[in-house]
Amino acid sequence: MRILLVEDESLLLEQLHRNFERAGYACDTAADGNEGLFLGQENPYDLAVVDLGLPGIDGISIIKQWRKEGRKFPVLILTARDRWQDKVEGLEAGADDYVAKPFQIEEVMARANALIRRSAGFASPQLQFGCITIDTGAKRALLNNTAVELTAYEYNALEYLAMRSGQVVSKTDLTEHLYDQDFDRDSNVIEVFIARLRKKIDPDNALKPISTLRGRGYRFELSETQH
Amino acid sequence: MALLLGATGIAIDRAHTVSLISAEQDQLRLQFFGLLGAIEWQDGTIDMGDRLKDPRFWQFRSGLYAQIRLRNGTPLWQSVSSETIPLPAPESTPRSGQELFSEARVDKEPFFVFQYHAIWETEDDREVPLLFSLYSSQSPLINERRKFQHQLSLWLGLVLTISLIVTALILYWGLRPLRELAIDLKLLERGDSTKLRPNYPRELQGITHNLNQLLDKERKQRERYRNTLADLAHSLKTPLAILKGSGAKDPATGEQIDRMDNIINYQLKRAVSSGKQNLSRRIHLRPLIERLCNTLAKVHRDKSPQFEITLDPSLVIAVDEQDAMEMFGNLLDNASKACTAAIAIHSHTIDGHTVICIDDDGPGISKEYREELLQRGSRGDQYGQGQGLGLAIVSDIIQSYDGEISFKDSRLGGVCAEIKLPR
Repeated sequence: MRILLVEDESLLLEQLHRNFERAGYACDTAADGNEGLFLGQENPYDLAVVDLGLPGIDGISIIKQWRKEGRKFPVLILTARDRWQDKVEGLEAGADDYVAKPFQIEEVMARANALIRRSAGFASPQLQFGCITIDTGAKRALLNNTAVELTAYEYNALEYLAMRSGQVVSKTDLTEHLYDQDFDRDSNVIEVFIARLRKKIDPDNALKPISTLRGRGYRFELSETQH
Repeated sequence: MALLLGATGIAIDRAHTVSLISAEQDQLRLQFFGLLGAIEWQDGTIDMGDRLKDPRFWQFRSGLYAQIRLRNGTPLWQSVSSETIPLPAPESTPRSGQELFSEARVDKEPFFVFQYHAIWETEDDREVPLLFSLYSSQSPLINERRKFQHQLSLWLGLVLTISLIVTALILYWGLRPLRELAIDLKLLERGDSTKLRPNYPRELQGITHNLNQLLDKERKQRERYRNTLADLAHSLKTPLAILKGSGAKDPATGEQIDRMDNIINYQLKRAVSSGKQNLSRRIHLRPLIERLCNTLAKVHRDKSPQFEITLDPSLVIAVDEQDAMEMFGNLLDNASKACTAAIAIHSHTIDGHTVICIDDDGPGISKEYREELLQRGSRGDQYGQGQGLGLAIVSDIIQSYDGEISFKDSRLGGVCAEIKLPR
């Protein structure tokens, strides 16, 4: 999952960046409103975490601009202005949730997770696909209720594909959502991930949950009854 | 005005009477000269012959009488008009060569009396002091005066009526801008408008312009004050967030950070609240509640609470918009966290108060614990979010508007937060 963090306080930005990265997110960061707006306009994020009080362009204006331009990724606002007026204005501008400062990083991450899950249309943090369970809260996958050892990138690839179950996800799309903007997009690392992921979640090669569509990308598909 | 015109009437009447009396005195003086010229002294008697020209001296009881006496009071002559009338002897007489004008009653009627003390030189060079007395009835003068008074009253009454009408019209037109100003001020007081209209007459524009400037300044100052406090909150809370994220693994440090955050939240929100003001603006409650419900539906999307808003669209409350947002935001957020699926917002009026109720279908709160809910730092929720400050802030804001908040059993099964605000 690729997220954008927009926060002007460098230490706080660094903390958020570190924690989200540790949780396996690909993070782009912006320290002011202009840069944040630009990154959100240019990249297909799965979530943006935006502080409302920013130098340059304020958080509410950024969200309004993104929504005006059709950017649909969920937005979590961080606000030190704990007034309801500010919360309501932020949410009316197009944000999806808010966290008031000071916050526990864990709370921000839980809210971020929930927003990503909701935006994919899942109400529960546990995504069930036959014998495969993806626990978006704990960031782990289970095969027949047994935890599968996955690296952060493998888990992210699985979660991204599972959240778009039945849809074709191009390699570029997957790359863009798994890696931040500094990643070398010509490498074949995605194929390697997918191959490793297939072996781990389908060791007997019986389920075939991830299919390759030549020239188009990958599709995750597994019915409830497939065991 | 009536008093002024009354005094004017009296003054004019007096002046007219004095003028009439003076004219009467002049008239009697002329009559005296006529009388003097008509006298012929013959051996101690007076003969007038037919030389007296004024016919009233010859008409019986004509109201004009004349008498000539010696100094000792012995009558020498009296006009035909007064022959059967006992003319009173004058109470005082003028000195030789002088006249005296006075009043007396003749046959019970008021008369003017003109006396002159003359020294008559006879043909044998004797000097005979003669006292001429002329009596003129006051009736014509009284009649004349009555007519004049009648006319004067009529005209002054007319003048008074016209003056009153003109004054009333002037006051009506002249005070119209003041009446409009009073209405405008009432609207301001009720919060139905934010400033006075600009189309006042030049004389009032100074006041209305200054008042508008004052209101505007006060509004901007309040906004600036709020923004400054919000900036202060921002600049204090961001470092707290960093501290919480970095070094706060130690429970004691974390607790102190939470305490600092609570103090900042509570004190700043209290400071930001406007409270009741004479010129507070009224707000329509329903759109504000709808905005909050839409927002909360987004925040609590997983639970998807159903908000049933049965508020009259015309319902207004005299509370600052931001304060109302803070009050109802906290209460609706609490209800959203506590509810199972439904929240109802409705209102009614009682004893000149607007009562707004927020019902939820959650597990409810025990009666013993409800009072404690409004204390700072107390938490009634079992749903894990917030710092237990929301209701204390809500309570403070409501009290600052002379309102009350209480918690009751809800018809939906949970809690009903009841806010009572003066209308």
